[in-house]
Amino acid sequence: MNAMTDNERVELNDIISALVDGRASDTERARLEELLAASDEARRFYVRSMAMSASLFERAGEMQNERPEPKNVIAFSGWSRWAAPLAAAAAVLFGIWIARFFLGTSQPASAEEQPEMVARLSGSKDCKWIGAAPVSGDEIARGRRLELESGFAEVTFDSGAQLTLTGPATLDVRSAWEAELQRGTLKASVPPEAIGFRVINTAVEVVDLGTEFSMTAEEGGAAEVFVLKGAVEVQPRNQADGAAEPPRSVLREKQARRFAKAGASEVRDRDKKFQRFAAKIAVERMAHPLNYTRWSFDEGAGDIAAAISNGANVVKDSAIHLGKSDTASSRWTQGRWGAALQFDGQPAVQAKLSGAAARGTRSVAVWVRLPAEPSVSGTQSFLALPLNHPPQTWAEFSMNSLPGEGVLGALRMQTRQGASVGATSLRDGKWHHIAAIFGQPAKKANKPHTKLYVDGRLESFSQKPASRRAPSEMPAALDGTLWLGGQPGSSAGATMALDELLLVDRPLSPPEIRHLMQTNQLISAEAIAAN
Amino acid sequence: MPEQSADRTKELVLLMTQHQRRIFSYIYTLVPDRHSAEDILQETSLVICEKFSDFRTGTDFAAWACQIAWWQVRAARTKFARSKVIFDEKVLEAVSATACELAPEQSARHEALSRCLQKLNPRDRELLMTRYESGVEEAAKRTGRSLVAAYKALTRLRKLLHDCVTNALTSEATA
Repeated sequence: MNAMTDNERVELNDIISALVDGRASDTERARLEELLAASDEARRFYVRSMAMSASLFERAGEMQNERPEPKNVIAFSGWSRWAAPLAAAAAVLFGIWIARFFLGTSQPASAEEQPEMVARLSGSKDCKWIGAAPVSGDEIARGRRLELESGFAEVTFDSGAQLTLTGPATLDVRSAWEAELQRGTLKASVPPEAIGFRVINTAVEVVDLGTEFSMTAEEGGAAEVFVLKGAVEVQPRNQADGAAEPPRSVLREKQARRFAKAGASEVRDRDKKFQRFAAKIAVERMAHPLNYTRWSFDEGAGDIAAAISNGANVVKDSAIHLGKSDTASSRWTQGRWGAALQFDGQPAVQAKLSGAAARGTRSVAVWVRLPAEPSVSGTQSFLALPLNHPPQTWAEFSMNSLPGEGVLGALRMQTRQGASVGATSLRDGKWHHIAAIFGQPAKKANKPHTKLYVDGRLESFSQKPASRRAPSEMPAALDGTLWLGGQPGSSAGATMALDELLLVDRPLSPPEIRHLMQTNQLISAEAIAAN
Repeated sequence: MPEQSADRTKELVLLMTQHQRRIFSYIYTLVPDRHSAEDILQETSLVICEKFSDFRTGTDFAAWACQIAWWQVRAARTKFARSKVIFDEKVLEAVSATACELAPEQSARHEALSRCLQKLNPRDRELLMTRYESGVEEAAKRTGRSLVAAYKALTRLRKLLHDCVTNALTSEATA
């Protein structure tokens, strides 16, 4: 084939646009390859389209640099001595855009350009997929399209929302907080921590207010929404650009509505459909063992805080020594669960960690109470996990004190890769549950993506890479010295309290984090679902 | 890197500046993911600097640089194994050949694009430029569109610009 049909031209343009915007599905990518392999015309169109986008990236970059306060900070670290002067000359002579490519910047690429993992296939039953078939436990990237031919698939988003698809169905995973149902049926279960999760479709946008609801999307564009529990906010969508937005409304328990281009209407056979959606779908879940090390700090007295370990590849015998008995006694306080450790600026305490040298994605969870009044020592890191790659490097947790890098008082996690700063201020003198997922994903091609949860809710956070040449790998071997209540090696400690520290050898799922926070018990998502 | 005279360094900076877009565009066409393409461009720039003593003044710098970029893309294949940012070997070669064949028209298309952008209505232009500066979500937010509407509008605008640029070049050729 050489000349393309009109339909193929439209299709090619659609796929290239999706590709440039980072939302092309596997099926679309495969189709693109097919078109490019078969037709010279397709290749010419593709090359010209991509060149146009390259030009537009350049123009947009130029516009950005024309602004009074450019965000680009040129990082010279890690470059050979001749490249820096060369690039500096280039920057002076020809503008920062050039320097960006020579040196990189401290500005992160927008999140949609990285293959960010935002959800996981948490359960399935009799699934037949169209295109690439995910298996239970697989991570799902932002922008991925799931095409289920038959069976049931449960997707758990990082926000904690769970969608169960009934095939045939097509779902586009847009982010941890949004999915688009192209066709088929889904049932959404959204815990309070994931309030605000959205399911969209050409006919309607549903914003969850903490609930269970079902949605069906027809090929023709119409959609029906059924609220099983709680309430949702619905907004009919009008595709015509510039048309006035139709008003939002709230649908409550046992209410249903049909949305189509012609407008909203009653649902036919409402009761029958409600009955069908109310039925529980039993999906099969893979068992993922939980290997962990835990310090409960429930001793409440004495100079040792002991650890309990469970399973393989975990840190063993890692008692924390609190120093001499007279100073140790002042360390104990009432915690969120039983006793806890209190730090009032004394030197930090430490424990040797060993035995968890394997690489992988790990989780850390801990309760923290930070002072409402800011103090210099309160902004020190209060927890430092040894990554030992290279030796003497840590993942350090602190309260953010740099307004330029995010919300003041929010959770800050600093590693060699850079800093991640959350959006919720912890500076209120109350106990907060924090959880972080970090480390190198199993598939090496995937970039590490830190996730932070505060009080069970996924934090939207800003990331500041140390520099473009910062190592992209985060091995998280957890081997070396763990520091609590202050910076590694620092003589003055933080002011705060800390309870129930837990290190887990795999990423915890949102239901596991929520359950841990609510009950102080660590059990797997499979066990939670079975209860 | 071998010692280079100040003149030679100046020449390198000048050539890189002149041809940077073309090299980036070539890499981005082969690896359609901006972030990865930028990384490969960075690596390519380093190799270009290292090997610049091999480059003969007066020959086609962009073609020479794209040849280096080609090998960097090939080397990146192992890095991208199983990821979706790279084509199958045969397609990669075919696309590279087309990109080289179309290279001479690229400057003219880039210039024509500026004129075509001016013809867009301001809301569409803002959507497009914000998308390329800060991503689709920000663009949708800033122009008061839903995400789906933004994706649709971007697809339409890209086709519009593509046609506008092609028409501009055709009419210039026949004028």
